[in-house]
Amino acid sequence: MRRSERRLLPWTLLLVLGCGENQPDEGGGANGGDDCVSDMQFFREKVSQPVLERICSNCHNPQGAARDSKLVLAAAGETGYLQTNFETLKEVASFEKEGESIILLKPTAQIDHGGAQQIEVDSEQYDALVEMVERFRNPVTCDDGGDLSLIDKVQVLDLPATLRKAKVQILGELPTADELETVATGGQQAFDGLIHDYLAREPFYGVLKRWFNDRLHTDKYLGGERAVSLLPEDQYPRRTYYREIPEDTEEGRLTRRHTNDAVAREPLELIAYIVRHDKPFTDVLTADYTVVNPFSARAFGLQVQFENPNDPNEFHEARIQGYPHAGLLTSPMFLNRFPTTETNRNRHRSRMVWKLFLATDILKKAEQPVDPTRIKDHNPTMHNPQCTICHAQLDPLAGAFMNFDTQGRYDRRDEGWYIDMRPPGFGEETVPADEWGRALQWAAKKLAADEKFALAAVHTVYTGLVGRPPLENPTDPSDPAFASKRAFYDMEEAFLDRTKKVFIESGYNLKSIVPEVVRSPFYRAQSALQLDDAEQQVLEPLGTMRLLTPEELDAKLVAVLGQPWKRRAGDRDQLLHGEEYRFFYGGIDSDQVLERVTEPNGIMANIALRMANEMSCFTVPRDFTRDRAERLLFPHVEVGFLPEDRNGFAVPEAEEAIRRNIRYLHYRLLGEVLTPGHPEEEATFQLFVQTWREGLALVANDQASPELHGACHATREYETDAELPEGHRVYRDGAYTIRAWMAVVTYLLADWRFIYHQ
Amino acid sequence: MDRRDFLRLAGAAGLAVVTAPLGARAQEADGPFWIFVHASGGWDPTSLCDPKGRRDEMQENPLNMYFTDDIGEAGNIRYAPVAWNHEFFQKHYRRTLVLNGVDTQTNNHDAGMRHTWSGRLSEGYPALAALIAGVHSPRSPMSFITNGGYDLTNGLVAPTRTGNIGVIHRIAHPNAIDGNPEGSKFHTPATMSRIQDALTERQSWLERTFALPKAKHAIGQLYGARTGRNDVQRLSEFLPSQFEGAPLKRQAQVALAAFRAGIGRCANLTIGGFDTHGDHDNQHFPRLAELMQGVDYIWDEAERQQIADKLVVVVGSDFGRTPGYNEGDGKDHWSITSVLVMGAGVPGNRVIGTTDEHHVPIEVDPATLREKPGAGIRIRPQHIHRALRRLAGIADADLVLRRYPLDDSEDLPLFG
Repeated sequence: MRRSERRLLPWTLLLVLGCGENQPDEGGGANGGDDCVSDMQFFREKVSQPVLERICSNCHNPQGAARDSKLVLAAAGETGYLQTNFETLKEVASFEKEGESIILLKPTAQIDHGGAQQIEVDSEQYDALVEMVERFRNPVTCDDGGDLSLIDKVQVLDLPATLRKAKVQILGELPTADELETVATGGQQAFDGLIHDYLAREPFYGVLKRWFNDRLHTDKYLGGERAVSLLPEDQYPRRTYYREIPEDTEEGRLTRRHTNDAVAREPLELIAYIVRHDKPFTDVLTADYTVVNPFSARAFGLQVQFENPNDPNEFHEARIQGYPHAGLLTSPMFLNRFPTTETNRNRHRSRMVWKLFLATDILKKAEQPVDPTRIKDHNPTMHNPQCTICHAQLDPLAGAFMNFDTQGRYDRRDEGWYIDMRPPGFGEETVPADEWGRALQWAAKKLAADEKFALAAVHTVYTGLVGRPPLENPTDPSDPAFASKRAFYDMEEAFLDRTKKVFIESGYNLKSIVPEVVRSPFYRAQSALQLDDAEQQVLEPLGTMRLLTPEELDAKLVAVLGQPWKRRAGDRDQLLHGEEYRFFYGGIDSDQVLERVTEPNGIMANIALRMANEMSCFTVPRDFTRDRAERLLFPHVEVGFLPEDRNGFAVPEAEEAIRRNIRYLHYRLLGEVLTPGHPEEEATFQLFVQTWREGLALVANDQASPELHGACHATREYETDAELPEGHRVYRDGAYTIRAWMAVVTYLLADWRFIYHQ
Repeated sequence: MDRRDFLRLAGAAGLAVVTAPLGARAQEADGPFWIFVHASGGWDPTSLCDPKGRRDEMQENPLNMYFTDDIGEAGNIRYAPVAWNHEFFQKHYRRTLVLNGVDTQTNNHDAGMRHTWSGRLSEGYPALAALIAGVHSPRSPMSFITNGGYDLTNGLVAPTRTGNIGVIHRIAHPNAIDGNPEGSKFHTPATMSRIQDALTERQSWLERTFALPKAKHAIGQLYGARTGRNDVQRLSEFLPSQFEGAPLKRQAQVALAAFRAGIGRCANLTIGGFDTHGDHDNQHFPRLAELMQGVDYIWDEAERQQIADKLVVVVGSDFGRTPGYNEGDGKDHWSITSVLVMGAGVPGNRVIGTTDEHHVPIEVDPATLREKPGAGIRIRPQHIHRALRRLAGIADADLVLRRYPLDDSEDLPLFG
């Protein structure tokens, strides 16, 4: 091994050097040091883009004139194309003639080259290839993790703050004081242990299902008989068994709902089941079983033993006799959500599998103009390069769905697949004829073994936690921000690649991805004060700051206030119900509306403010009905704690308690640690005092009622709506402190820190 | 000095304090307003405004099942004798410009939708609706209303999505307990104002605490959204008392009320169901009828809202459908499509672009727009967008030129 003396793009250097180029060399041998340029970096900057993409790939692509040569390059932008092309070039470079690699001889036409001379000897491109060949012979590696050095300059949340953020996101709960203490004293190991525990708890699986539904959108079929009606009646004659129960009874309604929704969520429940039981995530594609609850088991006509036959949350593995299960790929819901037609021939299904499970959007290749009006070829999907660029990759896997018809029915095609299409398979492999009956099972194993499958799983978890998908590889060098985008992409890709390896080494346990992400600066970045403008440009995508989704905001309200946005447990949830604010607040219905709105508008700002007003009205008086030790919001004050006496003099003890409670609220609601006397404490205190003074004067002048508005009365239990004992009811507010506290809670709930991820 | 005092003094001293521009609303109320109607899935122009038909029942592999003799005419516009075309074109031909033979250069849904509505086949450009809203009314609370379709904004403007309009009063009046501005409040007006002042004053502290580019952007987003918050109240003044059942009409009601209220500029309306790979005529025609009835309703409602003279409506789809039926009586994807443009500044009763009997575009002379087979050009979405940008008055905006230039396509005189 050796070290490179070449310098690359400024950003690459910055990332590699981290602390500046004048740092003394402490490289310690071949790996690392301040001027280390790895082979992959060199390949990317000097060979891939300027030589392979600009020159070679015109012919050396799967459909190009040189498609039958050894050098067949993946298209720029394809997932993993850099690594693929690096390996391909390395292999081709090993062929030599008279001691010289053919990748130097062919493009310069020093030996026979079908594409004639493309590169001049001693040109910049030639020099790059010379060094690349040398690097293949004597690889250069750099210190692992060097690519993250710029990110390391960013100030990240400390572990207790990270724990709070992660627990709210994963479980919808605040960490306990004990947990925070454990992390503060136990450090990373204690942190990891707690995260591990959180991932074993049930609320995590609700979050997990939401992450995956944001991609699969099978929740479209929740409600009514939307899912059940998609089951082929001839294969599932008991699909509507619940109709035997009168539907105007509670039992009838519940049985129908639990049945339909378990069928609708079969793919998501399978994912949750696999993760919950620490099974390899590859089972998502390869499992020879599905999961059912007591209700869907009956619809599928299965005999399964349940501990509680009325529990809709009890899921077990089950196999439908004669059905070639291939994880969620053979779920009727998956097959209907991504339907096909007689002419589409499963290509849509294939495309979605590539996209969802191999992190590859094949149709991005179709962004180049195509002109079907000029296509005269016989069978263009097989022969016309405009078509084969996608179909060569798409069609074999489409064929693997050969036994599932347009309705998602298992309909074995013993006669085989269309002869005017590529044969069923995956990649270069073809499904053997004796495997046709289980072609999808055959293909699923190939899919799961592909490293892109692991990467796709990492992407999904990363997207769920960080709030955006990983950056796509920038491929347009004319973009003014190309270098900075590429620099961030490199850092992120390096992290995702390492996480993928951890995931694979864990035996494909999806839980292994979560701690990697929440520990990382991509999740914890908070601030960066020492960066220059150029560095800031590179780090533009860094951070998880984004508007909470309706579901996340709802969960956060439960975590900090003990209830979602509704007055009583039996009411509609204002953030989640489609007839309330769900869509106005950017939510999805998994049917027509599939993308979340992540930038707030005036409507959403108003909804957030209304939420803050209503929730302060619902929860502040209610908190004062509780004993102080049980309160969520006001453990340090009573309603009688007034900041001033009747003569306008401060009451120091009361003021201190009020200030202490304000600091407590800042922490509980916003995760903000304020020291006594902090300007933000003072601002909130002034809000409290001025509101109290105003209200007191209004009450004294009969311009305001000494009672709270009826909507804010705390006279009933939230869960049961049972009336509270007289002594516990809170509805009078002659001292106006409750309303002053409501103003404070409104202020904090409407704050950026509450309604945004940080 | 507390923070509020500082802000007051800052304001008095003329220091920059973020507020909504005072003149913005009046200007926005003047229009023009834009509605983009997306027929999702790829519509069939030969069943709409580029009719082909068949000579008789003996014709093999016809493009359409209706007869050429039945093709309708309204002024200079020919239309297929199916769905609700007759009613629509007879009523609206004078304000309708038909662009036929538009080459989307793709038969991929995502790419087609993107090309039709952003003017660029590749990824990265915002929807034209977002671009117009971003240039003319970036801070208006409902500047860009989207009901789906292609609605990439690139951060130029915050998109607004609508839901159950029954809750709009509660949204418009967040401090009114039951949504009635005259009714009881959660907080006194003075207290509400105090809360909002306190929120505003926290901005700089938040930006110092979260000193990352993304955090600053996110904080700015929320504070920007809040500046136009109170204008939402105006929407409730102009919403109709009854809402239509058909989704497209309902989407139009909200968009037009927002325009009338002076808080909206552009809207994406969508209607799906056009991807009819099987049983095309029976599946496609009802969707076409609903689409054209929806567009008709847009104009009726715009008249009622007194903004019809300031409205531009563009109707388009992902691409077209194959010239002929497949084995399942369906039609597959075809890159050639049509676009309808109607309203303010658009010369109606006109058809630009033609296609041959196989629905292949005939090239046009870029100067005269007359047919010029073999020596002219194909009309592409870029051409249409170049003209629409000019019509919208954004073609020369610095933001548009710098960040979203169209390729070197010709400047076609589509609107005269």
